Amino acid sequence: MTFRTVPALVLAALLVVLTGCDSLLDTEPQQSVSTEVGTSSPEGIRALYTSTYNRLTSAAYYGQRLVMAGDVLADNAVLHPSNSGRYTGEVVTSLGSGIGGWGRYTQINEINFALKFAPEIEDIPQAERTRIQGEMHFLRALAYHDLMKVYAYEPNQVVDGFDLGVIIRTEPTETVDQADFRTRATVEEVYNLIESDLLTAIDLLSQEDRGDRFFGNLAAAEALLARVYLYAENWEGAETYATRAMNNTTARLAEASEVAEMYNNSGAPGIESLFEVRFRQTESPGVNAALAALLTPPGFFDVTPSEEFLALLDESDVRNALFPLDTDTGAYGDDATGNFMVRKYDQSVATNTDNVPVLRYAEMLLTRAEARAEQPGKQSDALADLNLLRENRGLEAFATPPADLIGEILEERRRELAWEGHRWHDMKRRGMDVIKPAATGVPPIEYGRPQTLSPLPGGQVSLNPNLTQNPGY
Amino acid sequence: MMAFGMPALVFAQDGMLEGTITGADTGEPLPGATVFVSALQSGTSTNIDGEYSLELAAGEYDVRFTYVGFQTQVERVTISAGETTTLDIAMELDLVGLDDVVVTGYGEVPKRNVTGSIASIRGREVNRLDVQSVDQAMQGRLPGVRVTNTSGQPGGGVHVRIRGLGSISGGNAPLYVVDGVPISFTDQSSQVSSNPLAGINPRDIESIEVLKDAAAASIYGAQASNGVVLVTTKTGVEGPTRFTLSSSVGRVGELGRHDMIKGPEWLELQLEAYEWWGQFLFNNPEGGRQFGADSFGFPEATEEGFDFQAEVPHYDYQEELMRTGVNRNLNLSARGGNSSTRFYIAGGYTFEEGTTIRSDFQRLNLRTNVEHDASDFLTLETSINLSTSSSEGALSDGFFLGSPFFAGQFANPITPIFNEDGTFNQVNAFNYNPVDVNVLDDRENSVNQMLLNGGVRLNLIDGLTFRSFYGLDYRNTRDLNYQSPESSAGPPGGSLFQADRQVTNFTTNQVFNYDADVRGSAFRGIAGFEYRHENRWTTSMSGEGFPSGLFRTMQNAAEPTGVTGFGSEYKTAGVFGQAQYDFLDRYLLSVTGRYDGSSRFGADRRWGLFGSGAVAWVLTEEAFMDWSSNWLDDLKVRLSYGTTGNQSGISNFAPRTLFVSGGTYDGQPALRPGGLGNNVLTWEAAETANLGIDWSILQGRVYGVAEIYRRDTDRLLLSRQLPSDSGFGSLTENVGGVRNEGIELELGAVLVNTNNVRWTSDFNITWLRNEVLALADGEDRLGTSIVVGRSLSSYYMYRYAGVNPATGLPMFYDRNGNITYTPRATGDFETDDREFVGTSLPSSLGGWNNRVTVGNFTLDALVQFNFGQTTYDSFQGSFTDGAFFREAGLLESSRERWTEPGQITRVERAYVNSSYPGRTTGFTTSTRFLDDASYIRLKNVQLTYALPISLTQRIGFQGAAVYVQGTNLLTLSNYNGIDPEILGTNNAIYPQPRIITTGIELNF
Repeated sequence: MTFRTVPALVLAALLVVLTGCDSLLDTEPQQSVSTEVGTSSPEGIRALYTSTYNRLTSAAYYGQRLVMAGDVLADNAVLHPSNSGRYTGEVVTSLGSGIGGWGRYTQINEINFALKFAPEIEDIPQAERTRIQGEMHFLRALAYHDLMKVYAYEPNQVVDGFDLGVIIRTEPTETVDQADFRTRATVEEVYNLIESDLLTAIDLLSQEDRGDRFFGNLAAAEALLARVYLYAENWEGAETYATRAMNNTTARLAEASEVAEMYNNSGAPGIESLFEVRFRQTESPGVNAALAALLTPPGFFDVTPSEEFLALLDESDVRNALFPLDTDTGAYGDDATGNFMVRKYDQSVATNTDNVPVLRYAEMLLTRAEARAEQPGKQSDALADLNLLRENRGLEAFATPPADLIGEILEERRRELAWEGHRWHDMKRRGMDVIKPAATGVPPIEYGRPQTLSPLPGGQVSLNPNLTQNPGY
Repeated sequence: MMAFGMPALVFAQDGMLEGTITGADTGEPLPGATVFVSALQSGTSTNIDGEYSLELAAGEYDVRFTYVGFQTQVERVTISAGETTTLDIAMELDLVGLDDVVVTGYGEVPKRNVTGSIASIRGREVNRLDVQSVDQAMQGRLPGVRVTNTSGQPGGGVHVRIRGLGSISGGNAPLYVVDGVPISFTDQSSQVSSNPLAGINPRDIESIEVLKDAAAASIYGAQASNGVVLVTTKTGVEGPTRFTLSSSVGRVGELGRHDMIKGPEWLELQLEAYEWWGQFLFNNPEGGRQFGADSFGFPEATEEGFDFQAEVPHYDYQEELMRTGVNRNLNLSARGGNSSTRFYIAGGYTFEEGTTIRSDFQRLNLRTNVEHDASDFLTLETSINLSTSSSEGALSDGFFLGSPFFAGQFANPITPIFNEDGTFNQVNAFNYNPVDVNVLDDRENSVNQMLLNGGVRLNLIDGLTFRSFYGLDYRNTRDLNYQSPESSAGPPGGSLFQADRQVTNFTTNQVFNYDADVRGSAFRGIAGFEYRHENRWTTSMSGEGFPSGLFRTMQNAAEPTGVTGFGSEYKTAGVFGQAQYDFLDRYLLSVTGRYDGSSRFGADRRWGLFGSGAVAWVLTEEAFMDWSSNWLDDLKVRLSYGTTGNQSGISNFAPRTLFVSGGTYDGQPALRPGGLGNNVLTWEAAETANLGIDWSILQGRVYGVAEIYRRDTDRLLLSRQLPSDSGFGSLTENVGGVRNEGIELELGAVLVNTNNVRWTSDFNITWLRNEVLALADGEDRLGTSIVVGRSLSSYYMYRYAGVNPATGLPMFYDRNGNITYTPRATGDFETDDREFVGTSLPSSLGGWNNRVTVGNFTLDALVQFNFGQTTYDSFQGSFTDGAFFREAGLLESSRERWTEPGQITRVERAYVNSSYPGRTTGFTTSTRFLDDASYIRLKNVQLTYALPISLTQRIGFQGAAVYVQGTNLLTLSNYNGIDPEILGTNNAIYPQPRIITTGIELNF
């Protein structure tokens, strides 16, 4: 071979290479897989399943906002004097400061992917497929109900005939065409979807559930259905499913002596949790988002319990331990000795990392109490439920039914479920006006005022001509 | 040196060659010029009188005469035994030399035959500059090229834009090709501003060519629309080995500092703010004042006769955070070769401290460029650059409490920096001591970079060469961020973050070059294939819980908090060709094409064709121009049109529908749909038209270039919003267009050229503008300020109307020109009170470079300027607009605050927080802080004294010089901040330094 033949060889090689042009440019992503692989392999589906739970941990949902905003918008919170600028609008319930959470559709889409593809994967054992579907139906019901609590009225509490719910999507978006402009379904339609999802979930999870309260499980689905029926004022259903949930779970009511530390859990779910969102040490929301940073020193400590809320706690109430006085960080002004704080999320897993209970035994007890109290002839059963909780919280049982039993139950809910995201929704579903803490200087927010419903994201309303904004925005 | 070492014996069969070498322009002798006989591999240099003599065996030789700044000459001489042949040489100045070769894409063309728009710099003009990377060296020297130092961090990032901004989201940086290897800019340090070009020693640069129009750049196809910068390093030259040793030391100082109000006066002002606060909220000014005094720890400050000056301390945080640094450079190179092997070997060390504490850059590099002619038709070539660099960075820049460029001013000046025992005082207003974090915490980046290439060049037949070329650009970047347990930042036990990033960027091209003379007309052709594969990979880890600041490695972390890894790749391939025909050197015609593909493009748009055509007419070759032939050297008109692409904004797998990593739950990893795919996603496409005139008169005494261009880029990558209930927020599509157009002028002259004095001057100016042509379907606006028909870099904000003399409240104009306290941003042009008030893109820019030589002294001075650019001074804004309350530092402008009715001022009255009664927003973005950032800057000055040759030759040197150099010495600007060389908004950036160095350079 002479040197002069080299270029001819190179040229020939080039031609060979170029005829295979397309494969020449083939590359494969390393930390992602094609949708086909993702939706057709057991690994892909299991990882997608994990993603649907990961979404719950976002600061927009159970990582922070769904837990905080309900109490701050309502009557349980005032700003700490050294507030960092977080929750300043919510504390005065300013227009537009609603809880929000429209981004939840990202989770719904992933659930819809899992629901569409999981049943077809033969390499996943049938029992696991059943369980995954059950959990996905449960999570979708939770997502839609969380959206409904924020953006729409409850079925029996519609104001001025504004009965729009939220957009319903039950199929995954796989192509651009499917990302179409939809209208909001009615409240009834969405509640029907939630109910049907939960009934399906209960059916599937009763066949198979992982027995892990950090994941969807049978009792959790029943508990959520009890909650949904309570919101829809289906008292009988609420009672039935609350009872089932309490019977079918390994969670139990905490005793008075356990209350002070019942939120201080990391390895296992809280004793009362039917469903709890888990944050491992490596899954910390970080100082800028963590509940602990918002509620306790040495974080931002933005929000403290209102005086009105603290006044509801009797001296003997063991829940006082959950709202201690912070004397370390110092106070503003001359006479103050410190500020009260919320100790439900106090870095129990790791720095700025806490698990968040979503469905809890005490909620079920109070749900059943309320559902029974609303039904004729079940007053004493209702009182028994309420008293059971009171006795385990260091309070005297009512010997005779109080004049306003439902009012007592709601007040007990306010005490028991404070800073777990319930207060605003409890007031809303009961059509109550929100009497803001005096320190906020804000007049009462009457039920049905624009603030009652969160605004839909403005960008979405202007993008989607079929999307109706909530009244007043 | 070889000549001096030879015995002075003359044998009978030998003859002598002698003569005098002079400059043709002045007739002055040139001492130290090189005379080299390549056949014998020996030579000599001229003495102080420009004379040389060489003893040679009888025979015929090619003798080469070289001298820096003059054109190399080769003469054929015949030596007869026992006789002395005299050969005097008058060397021609090497000005813009029309015969000089200009490096183009995959080839070279004599300057007179260039048809595209190419601007170039010779390495020797910039070798000595106090810059760490070659991109900085281009500033002010090239028309159409905007260079902005975005950070004062030594070795930091540089912003280069060629002919404006052609993309909205796709990236506007040019393609850099160093010795044929495209450089990757991906995966840089996340800790310290860095620059992959900083691995190359500017001392090693032979030339920089910037390909600006499509005729020049389209051979780079889908990567070329932002322009191409070709960097060529020095190669060996046949001749005796020449060593160059240079060394310099310098002082790196601050350009300026914000004057802050000192502690005593600061407290007075803060109390005034509290007084207004008490007045507003409680109708109790005294109470407010007392509350403020108590909270600052000076309860007695409200008492009559309190002596602020005596009682209130002042602590200067800026003084603790800023410093005067040093820089040092040491470089040694050897360059030489014989008839078959040529080499350039150079090593360099550079170290520069930044103007803030714990900020520096250091680089050690070794370059070896070797060419070897194995035979008549085979040449091997390789070029290797190894570099290791490390830099410490300021803890952060921007509006962070650890940023020296913000916290230094923002810190409350009555809080001590240190405790009495010398430890850091940890209680500042924000529980954050900016000095302590910058001293105790580490932020580091170290880079090991390997840039190497090798190839084989074959001379196939006359004029036809083939080159098989392989290049590797490998970069390993290590990041470290350590927060000491003792510092006030980070978690209580401290934290450590480390990342290890690797980029392997492989290129190969196989190119045929053909040069032929067809009946007096030159034909040049290029045909080739190129393939590039870039692979990157990052792992990072973090940990917390260190026993003390003495422990700084991951092993000491009590608690690992995260480990993660990431990898990605992309590939491009293309076939290209170019043909140029220079008919009688008079009508030049060139055609270029490239069929280019990239793995980043959607499956249905993976390959595209790019091309250009250019014609040029050399009028001076025409007979009808004979009348001017005694003064007009060259007049050429050229016109080009073509297409190029931009793929830099497309991430490696953007067009695909993928399941991507989605965090974890319960410790399990998650995957989720990462977005909807777009299988027609493809390059942004630019069409460029360029008209240029090159001229030169009086044997190069005066010359110039004028160009006018228009570049329309369409298929811009923009995202289309999707309804988020679909689960996806947006889809990237090829929509939208931008136009850039401009005029570039370059004018050079030898202004003075006498026996002892020589003054050359080069001036360039560019006028440019930019306009959005189209956005997504039916949209005329993107975000807030990107609007069809306006510049991409527009500022859209409220117009400030000053302070109401009656109340001290800031006022704005509404859209009708009426005064308002609460201007409205509705997002709708019809009702919005904001207006388009300026652009951050300059309307003109350029530079003026001068070299004056008087005897042995040479003065170089570069003036660089930028006009018509505005900048939003967010820094000033964050202090002045309602700043008193933050209990933070105060700028001197606070003295102009409104204090009493009737007072006319632009600064509102003092208050304790930004949302005070009567105003809806505190930190309102308005023209109040919009500054004209036009400037003229004396960018670089060098004064060199070349030691007399008679002296240097006596001590065995070819030459020796000492010099003093100053960088950023003087700036004329109306800008209020420290450094008007700024890009867009001033977000408390790291300002550039003022550097003064002295150095020596020895040639032997």
